[in-house]
Amino acid sequence: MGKFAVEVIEKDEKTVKLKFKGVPLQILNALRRAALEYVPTMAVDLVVFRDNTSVLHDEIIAHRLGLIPLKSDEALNKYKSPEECVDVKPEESLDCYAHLTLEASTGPDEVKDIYSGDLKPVTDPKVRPAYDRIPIVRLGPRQSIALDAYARLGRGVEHIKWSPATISTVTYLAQINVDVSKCNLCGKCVEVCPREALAIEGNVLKTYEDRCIICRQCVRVCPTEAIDVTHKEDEYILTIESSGALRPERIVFEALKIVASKLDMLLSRLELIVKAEVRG
Amino acid sequence: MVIFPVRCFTCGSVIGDKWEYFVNEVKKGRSMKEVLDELGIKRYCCRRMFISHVDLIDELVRYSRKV
Ligand code: SF4
Ligand code: SF4
Ligand SMILES: [Zn+2]
Repeated sequence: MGKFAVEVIEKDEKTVKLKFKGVPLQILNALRRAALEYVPTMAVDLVVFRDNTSVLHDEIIAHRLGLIPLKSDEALNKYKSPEECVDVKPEESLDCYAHLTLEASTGPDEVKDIYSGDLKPVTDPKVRPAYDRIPIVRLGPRQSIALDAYARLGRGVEHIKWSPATISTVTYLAQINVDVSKCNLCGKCVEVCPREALAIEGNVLKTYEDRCIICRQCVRVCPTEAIDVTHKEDEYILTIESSGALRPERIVFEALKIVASKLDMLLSRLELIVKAEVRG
Repeated sequence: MVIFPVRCFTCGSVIGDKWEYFVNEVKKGRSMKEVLDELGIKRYCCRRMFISHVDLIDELVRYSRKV
């Protein structure tokens, strides 16, 4: 691969938007998919109910607990991979599972909401809910709930609760070409554009390519075929929105590592095959 | 639904933590659009989760199951 460039277009607590130049679409798409399916995070995988007299069944509560993102930045370096934990009993291994607990009850006239913040870490204070105010269940008078939850590393391929990214997209960048000799400044394209990417300023048709969504409405409506919209050949935008489990830039780094290791694996398998054939 | 979902059914974005604020603000008379914009709920898959949700847990919450 020749020269390439990466530019950070947007970055905050939740989202990172990167502009790549000179990186093939296939590689970016592999990154995008690795971010969704292969970068591991911690999520609750087993719930042992000691008590539940709430109006929600055990299964519903367990499912809700699973969907709560758990902080995983430190856990990634600490816990064993999902593949290594297949046959491990949750109660027994601190290398595979983090133990959390939830206990709550209500008085005779009390109605109380139980939140993700009430799910307390037992074995690892770093593995805790990324958000504190997700309601888990509402307890009515004289109801109680007590449970142990065990979280482990997992991947989005197994269940989407482990996916660190809620959005992971690669998009094109628009290229708007206006043939000035054909354009009669009728303004029909400006009128139809849903993103205000076109404007007649003075006596030229101005384009704002970063706003364009390549819907090509302008092309269809132009009476003189003066405008054409395509995408840039060599530039793409990768957008990743984090579930809260990992910092968004960490998701990109981890995805990159995973794609690289998959390529290494492919290469070593190929080498084996080639060697075998040479030997006959 | 009985209780507001933890995540958007379509994109998986976490929405559960924003429900209470949304309900309280809308009850104060603000428009749903305004509150959703303030909360940073951009996609219409997530927005419909808020707009279409009917919280039923209060209808049930006073009945305990026999254990
Ligand atoms: S392709 Fe769509 S968004 Fe882009 S300039 Fe034309 S009408 Fe506007
Ligand atoms: S519709 Fe065509 S002719 Fe009219 S202003 Fe747009 S590009 Fe020019
Ligand atoms: Zn959504």
